[in-house]
Amino acid sequence: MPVKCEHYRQGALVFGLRSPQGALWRRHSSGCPSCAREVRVLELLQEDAVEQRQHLPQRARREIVQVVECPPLDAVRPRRGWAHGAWGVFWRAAALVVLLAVVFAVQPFAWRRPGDAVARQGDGSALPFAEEFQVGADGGRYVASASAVVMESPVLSWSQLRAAQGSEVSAGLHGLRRSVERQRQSLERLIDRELNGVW
Amino acid sequence: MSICDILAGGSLALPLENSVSDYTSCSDSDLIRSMQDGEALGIETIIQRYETRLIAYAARYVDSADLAKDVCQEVFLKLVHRPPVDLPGGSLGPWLYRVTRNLAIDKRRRRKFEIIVDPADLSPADAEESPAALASASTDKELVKRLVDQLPVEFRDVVYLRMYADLSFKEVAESLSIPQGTALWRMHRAVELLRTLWNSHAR
Repeated sequence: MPVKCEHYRQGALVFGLRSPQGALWRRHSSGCPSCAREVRVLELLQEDAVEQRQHLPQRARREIVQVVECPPLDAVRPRRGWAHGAWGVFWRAAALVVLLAVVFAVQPFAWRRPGDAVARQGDGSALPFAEEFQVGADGGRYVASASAVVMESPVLSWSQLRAAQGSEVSAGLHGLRRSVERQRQSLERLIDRELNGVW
Repeated sequence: MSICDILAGGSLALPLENSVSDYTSCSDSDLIRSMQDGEALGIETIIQRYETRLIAYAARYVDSADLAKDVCQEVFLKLVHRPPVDLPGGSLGPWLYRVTRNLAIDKRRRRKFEIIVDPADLSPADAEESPAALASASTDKELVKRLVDQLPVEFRDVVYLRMYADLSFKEVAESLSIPQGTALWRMHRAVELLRTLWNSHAR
């Protein structure tokens, strides 16, 4: 499309079809079929827009005006003075203080290590697997839950591993395998006992 | 001292015997303030200023004049309950058209049944034109409306706001939160696309 056409169209779009710029575009469109089609499109849209412009029904209008004149009760808010503002600040501060107090009171319990909760009995005979189970409300006799069993640390640390020679590494691996096997057997026994109901 | 000056000064001492015509020169923000003070004439002036264009705009989304009026009423009620805090450019238009668009789209989505609009209701007969010319115009109009519906949504929104809501490109840009140049470019592209679509339809 030539620049001239776009120029005419721009003027008509910005200022409207009824403006002098619109009249210029119309005059130009008499010799330009593309512009003539575009002018027709916009004219039809404008006609349709004029037809669609209708007024609100009186009833709807009255309802809106009524809301303005007599706002519903829930929309009426009482005027708030300085006391209300002060109370808003005060209760927030009070809530913060209570929250901090609760946090400090609960803190020692929250930080207790899992090992502290493991039952410690004098002889250890009354409570089988006391070291592996946390004691429940009945002393661990009927209600028991698996405690946080601390896994054995690796036989060799990374620094030790770097310093170790071949035989030491294989010995360490051997020890690690045995340790894993021991734990597996222990767990199997526990499972067997639980399945057999032997407590 | 005019009513607008009194409103702008925040005074409530308005004379009782005012009419909507006294408020027509007031800015939108002054009218909102008077509305918030319980003045019915404030909202009545706003309604008078925007209702027809809002209904025409909403009708393009919901495809029904009655539903468009419902949408328009909801928009004004929303304005009464929760008016905008600040008006960009001092005009309520962009806010109103944005809310109208959202509500209309929402209503169209929720509509469970199809409303058949009688074309005779929408285009009253013009006695001066011949029946053949009328039929052709009506057909062309329907065709163009259908073609507009085929446009990409960003172009269609600009066409609706410019042609049906009769907004300037500055207000169109504010309503859609886009730069003014983009709004103008979209309108250009929309008109070109409509011409192309119509040509291809005519072949």
